[in-house]
Amino acid sequence: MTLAIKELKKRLNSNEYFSSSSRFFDGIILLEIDSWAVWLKIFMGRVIVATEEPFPFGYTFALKGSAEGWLMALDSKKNRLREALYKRMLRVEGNTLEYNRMGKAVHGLTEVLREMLCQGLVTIEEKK
Amino acid sequence: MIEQITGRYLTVRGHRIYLETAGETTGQPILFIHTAGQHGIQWRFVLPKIAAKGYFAIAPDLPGHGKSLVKDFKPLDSVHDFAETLWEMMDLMELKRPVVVGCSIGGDIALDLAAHHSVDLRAVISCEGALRTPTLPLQLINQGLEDSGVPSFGDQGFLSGLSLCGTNADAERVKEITFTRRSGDPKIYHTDLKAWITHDIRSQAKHIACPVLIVWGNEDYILPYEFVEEAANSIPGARLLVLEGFGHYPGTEWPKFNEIVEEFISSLKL
Repeated sequence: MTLAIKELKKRLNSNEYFSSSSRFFDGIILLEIDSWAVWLKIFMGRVIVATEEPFPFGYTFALKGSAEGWLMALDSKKNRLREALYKRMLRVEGNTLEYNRMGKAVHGLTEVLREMLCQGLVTIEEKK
Repeated sequence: MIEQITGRYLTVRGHRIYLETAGETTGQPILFIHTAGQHGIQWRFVLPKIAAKGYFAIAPDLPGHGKSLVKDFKPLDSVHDFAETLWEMMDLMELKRPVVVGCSIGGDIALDLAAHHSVDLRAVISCEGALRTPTLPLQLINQGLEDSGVPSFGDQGFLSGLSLCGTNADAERVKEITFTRRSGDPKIYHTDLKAWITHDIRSQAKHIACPVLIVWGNEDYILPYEFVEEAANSIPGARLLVLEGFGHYPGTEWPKFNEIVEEFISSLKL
């Protein structure tokens, strides 16, 4: 798993859809792909910190799953995040009400990840 | 432009039902039933096309949905109650041997009508419905019965609608589906889903005597194929049509959906 974290932060902070939909959020989103993770501290529509280092206060909610699940969610033809969650290939942990409240922002986040995946700025390898 | 769709109200079982019609009342009646939490506008593209072929098309808003009020303001939470309400509505309208088309919970309702009134039905087309549809956890549905349990309901509806449209869906239709999915009452939506997951007419399937067409979009992940296949195999003579690249709303996603209805009816011996 590789992810250009600085680029992710930059793209999210210049993404109107994500910024607008996360404007009323003050929390931390963890994305976990197999054993690799990225923490995103978000405040008033901006990603303040993006890091692989765990936050001491934990996360507000996390999206976790295998490489296979993430590859499905970030399908190049269509955003299949909800389908991957429905099929339990990904899971939400932490404050699920906050996750639901921030559904649009999470969608925006995964749209940026899909774009970066297509451009080779994210690589996700399935375990053999 | 004035459309040829006409709206009217009638009272059935104490529910004030709103319905839209298109076509001459002398034509073969075809009833169209919408999906959970939504209303008859879903069929607005289909109704005029069907009417142009000489049929009488009817699209009600289920009690508690759209412009239809529900008796005592208590939402229905059973597919059979919805079905019997529509049956009485069709009786009141003096519709003779109607064809019933439904999608999602509407597809379940269509099959429930077939299970209880098939002798008096011309045919049934069930889209994204089955004999049983226990595809969501009850805990999630109960959580949705309180507004505090479903924050950002509008966004959730939009995103759910977006994810449930197939990759071959017409882009403009997807915009309309996601727009209309934003609206509605969370309580109505979740009582509908309670009806959806508790629906089970497997024991009556063998008694269905009218022609049945089961339609399933193969990208409808909310209704796994196993339930669709079970319905197609259990209903005597049922036909199964799988739509590649379509999702949970084939009647809206595909601009040519009306042709499925027309061809199925034409294939029947009238």
